[in-house]
Amino acid sequence: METKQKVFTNQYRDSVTLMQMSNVLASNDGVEQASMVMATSTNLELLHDAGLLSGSVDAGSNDMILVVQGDPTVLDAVLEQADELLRAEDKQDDSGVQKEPPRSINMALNENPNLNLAIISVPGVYAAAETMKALRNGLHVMLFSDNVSEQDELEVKTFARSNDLIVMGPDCGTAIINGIPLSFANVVRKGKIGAVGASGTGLQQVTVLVDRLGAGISQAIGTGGHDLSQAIGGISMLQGIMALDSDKETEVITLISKPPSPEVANKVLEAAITSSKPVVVNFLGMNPAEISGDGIFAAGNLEDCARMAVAVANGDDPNNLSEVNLNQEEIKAAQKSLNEKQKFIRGLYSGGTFCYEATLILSDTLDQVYSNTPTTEKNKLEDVWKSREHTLVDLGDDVFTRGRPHPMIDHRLRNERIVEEAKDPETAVILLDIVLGYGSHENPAAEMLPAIAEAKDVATQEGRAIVIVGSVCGTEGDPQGLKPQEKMLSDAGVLLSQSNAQAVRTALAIINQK
Amino acid sequence: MKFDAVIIDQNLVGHSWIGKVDSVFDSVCNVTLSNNEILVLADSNLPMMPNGVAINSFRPKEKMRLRPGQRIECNAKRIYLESSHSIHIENACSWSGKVAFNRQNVSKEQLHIRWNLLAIQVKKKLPDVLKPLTWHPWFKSGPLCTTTTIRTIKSLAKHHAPYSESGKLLKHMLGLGPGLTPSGDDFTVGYLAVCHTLGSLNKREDIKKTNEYLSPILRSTTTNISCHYLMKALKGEFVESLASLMSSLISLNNLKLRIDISNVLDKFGHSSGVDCCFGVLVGSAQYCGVGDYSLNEFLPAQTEK
Repeated sequence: METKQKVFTNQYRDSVTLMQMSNVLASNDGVEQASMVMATSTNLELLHDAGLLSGSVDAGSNDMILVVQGDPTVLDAVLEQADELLRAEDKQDDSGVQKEPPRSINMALNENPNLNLAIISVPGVYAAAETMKALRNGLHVMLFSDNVSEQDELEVKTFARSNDLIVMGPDCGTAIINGIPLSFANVVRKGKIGAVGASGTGLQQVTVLVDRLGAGISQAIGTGGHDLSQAIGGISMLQGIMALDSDKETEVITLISKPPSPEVANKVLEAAITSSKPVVVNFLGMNPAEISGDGIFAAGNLEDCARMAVAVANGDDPNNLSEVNLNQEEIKAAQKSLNEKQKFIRGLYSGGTFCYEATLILSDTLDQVYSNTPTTEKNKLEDVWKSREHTLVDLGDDVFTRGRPHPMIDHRLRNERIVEEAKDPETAVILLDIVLGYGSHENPAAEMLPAIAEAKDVATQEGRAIVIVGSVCGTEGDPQGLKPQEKMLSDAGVLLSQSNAQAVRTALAIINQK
Repeated sequence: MKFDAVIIDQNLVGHSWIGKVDSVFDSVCNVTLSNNEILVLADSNLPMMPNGVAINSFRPKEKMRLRPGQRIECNAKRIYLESSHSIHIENACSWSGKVAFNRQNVSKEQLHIRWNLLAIQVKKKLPDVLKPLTWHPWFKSGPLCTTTTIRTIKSLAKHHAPYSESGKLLKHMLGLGPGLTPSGDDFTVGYLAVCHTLGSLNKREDIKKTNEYLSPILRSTTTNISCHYLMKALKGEFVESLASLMSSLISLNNLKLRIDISNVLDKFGHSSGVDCCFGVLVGSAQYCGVGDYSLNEFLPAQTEK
């Protein structure tokens, strides 16, 4: 048996790579030991102690050393093999460099001069500059980025308006333009209902429900969440209304937002009244009675907004919608499964608007509904990581998404929280939204099933049951498919409703009628 | 080609340097500066590192073709690389990896619960990363730990080895293990994170003593890159995910702790996160008094060669 060594000066690899190389070299016939390590003094000492190294070695901490022990006839070949392995690693690093995708707006326009829309998703501080570049090149902009200053937003929107362009955003996550879903959006059929929305999941819910009711969407234009603030003045929403008003395919317009500032609300409603088309308005949290005007129909929630728009498009009376009946059998069975101590609803939402809508619906009946996005400041959840009484959490909020993907993509955080909530003996109902479509996780139901099963197990072990109520915001055309997703969830014992509003009312009925 | 940095270690803000590329990985490039400090350019998906600059979609090998030895120059606004690439740093958010001393805010019992949680997660992860710290060239795919290493680790977990004396023991761990940041060094960084957050009430003196043991020998006992992380660790500055883990060990939020543990385990080098968490585990074992026997499941039986 003989030992040979080789020093690779100023070379390095990480631990796992070195161990893998050592294993490959040691697996050769005739090799007793092979060890490739950084030549730190501790490692050299170990090699000495192991009898793999004798005498001094001219190697330092920043060099690599290979020591092989075995049949003298094979050792040189093993040292050569190590060289090859290292070269192969280097080659691997250099290979596979394909034609790079365009790295700037100009490069993209050079490749295809017919482009007319840019989607911009860069850190907020650079977003305005990139948007201006796109606008100067004559492109409309969907600005996905958040954290754009009010001043920058106003500047880019004013510039866009004066050049007959629109900026959808900042913080615009959803749009459907000419039938093409952009960012987080669903595959819906083409139709005659146009939508302008300052809320991403709000737009998703309305477009999905319109599709499910058999109608279709002409365009869905996002404006970004700050557009209806006093400072911005609803520039994009007003442009959206005008665009849909002149769009031949659009027969009914829907507007979706949290309540705008009163001044902006007046401007938007004025534009809606002067539009030549009927307009269904859902300003979440604003009393529908305050929204009136010729050709204006006010909806109290997202589901009603979709139903009213479809009614108007079909020539029916939107103010005379039939009642939506909840599944009373399901509700009664759920009530029976709960014990006296279980009295609270815990909502874990991936969609911010769904969370807000749920908070509004519950607050109509319940005194205190805590949330990280509350309807009133007094109901603000102090520790967002821990629920108290009735709590609804928007897990898409910045505090949860810092350093990790949005909960529509990455379900780990919500899954953990589902189990946490189930451990609380006072939790009666866990409320969930499951959002399908482009941008969302490819199989959200499958991601959630283990957590749902664990939550139910946790409760069962403590002699309780836990009720899980949810709604799937998606269509059959979505990449994930509505039916398979719903089936997986139903089979796991989740009570599914057609919309978020219905799911919230179901949860409320379960705890109220206990 | 111009890149924009997203976050920058506040130690680097407003300074100028000249340096050269030391080592390049898929999404990290280490640069040796003229004052022997290391500057870490890294993809923004990775946790921030001491002396780190986070850059969006940073692929130093594939996109920038960076190679060791290349010259690099930084001014207060931009980092210029020889290969006509530059990184804009002026608008990047500032970051500090300092951990806070919090011993007074957590009881031994509370920490014990979290210790178990950490232990479970680390144990799950050990087979995935081929157990670098417990690997040894003496035995094909067998355990690393010599009797000396096992004894060192166990002593570090015992009550009778106060944090002030830990430098004597930690020096046996320096440079131990195969990679660019040897496992023993990653372990030491984890252990030092505990000293800085949970160490004795006389923390300042303890750290000073540890510093006296370790600082003079660091450069000669381990790699340049690893030396950088150890120097920073001695000053109480750590990788972002580790700093966050330390704060959740103190807080009462087990959910956040679980997330932080998996961030350290999954997003901190190939095996560095596991070794680092093991260091935290051993360091906090001393504080919550779980006893060195609790480490048996992580270590091979003691064997004399």
